[in-house]
Amino acid sequence: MAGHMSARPLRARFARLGPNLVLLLALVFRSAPLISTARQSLQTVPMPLLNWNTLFDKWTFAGVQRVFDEENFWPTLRTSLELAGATVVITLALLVPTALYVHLRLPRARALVEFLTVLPYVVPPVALAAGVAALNR
Amino acid sequence: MGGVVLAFLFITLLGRQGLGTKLVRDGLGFDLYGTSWFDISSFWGWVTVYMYFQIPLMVLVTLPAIDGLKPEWREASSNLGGSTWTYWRRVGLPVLAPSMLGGFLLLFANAFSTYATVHALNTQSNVVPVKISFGLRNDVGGRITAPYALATMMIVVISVAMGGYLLLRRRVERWQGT
Repeated sequence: MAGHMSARPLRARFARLGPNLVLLLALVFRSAPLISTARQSLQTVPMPLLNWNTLFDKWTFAGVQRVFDEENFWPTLRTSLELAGATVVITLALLVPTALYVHLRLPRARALVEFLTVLPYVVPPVALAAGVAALNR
Repeated sequence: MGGVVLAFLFITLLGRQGLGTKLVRDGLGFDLYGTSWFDISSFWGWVTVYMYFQIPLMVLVTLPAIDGLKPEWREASSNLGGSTWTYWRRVGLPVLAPSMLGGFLLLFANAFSTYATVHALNTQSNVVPVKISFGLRNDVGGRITAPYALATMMIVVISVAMGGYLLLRRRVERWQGT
């Protein structure tokens, strides 16, 4: 019984260890690729010379600034923004009434609508392309 | 985030000249590419990259179900003399099972049909979507049938997975109030 009593605070102290380790691992996994990509754009040390000694050398915004001087940068950014904006507006205009209608009038169709919404993510774009190519042949 | 950008993120981290690869080799003396199984442009590399978009998707699919576990159920289980183990085996996991199985099917279909990411990692990848695209590009006269056959088979596999997902969603709705 005494052994049980003394083991308890120890167990409580390590109770969060497992979850915290998982969180830490997830954090590293999620952020490491982003950090390495940022390094790629902000540091001018060539890849073959990269190690712990050179890690803090030659950090510069020059590479990023050069992007803005690129001839086609602004038109490209503009097109991307317009594309994003247009799709958001059209999607909202279509989706809000549909979601409301389904929620209020056709609650039984909700699973089906949800299925239809995830369909484009999982029907392989390549298979769709094959279908279009088949129509054209 | 997905596709080509994601592939590039991981090439800068775990490619042959990647930051992670180099720092681990330099700091810990462990050469990731000295092992025979890891390469960002082969199987376990693809697995690592796929995990990056699969994990958040699984969280999105299962989190509502986990939120839906009512504290009262746990209290009821305790009041009837159930241990933590009993609660999870008799109440928690049965309620979560449809969501989790549905998540597995959705993730399976998602990974199975991924094209841009794996193509950017290795244009010679031996996976179905890349083979279809390769076949289509070589199909100049419309005489090759293999890519169309592959695409049809793929749609059958995806349909089975998504049919299962739809059925499981129906079961999930039962436990999420409304």
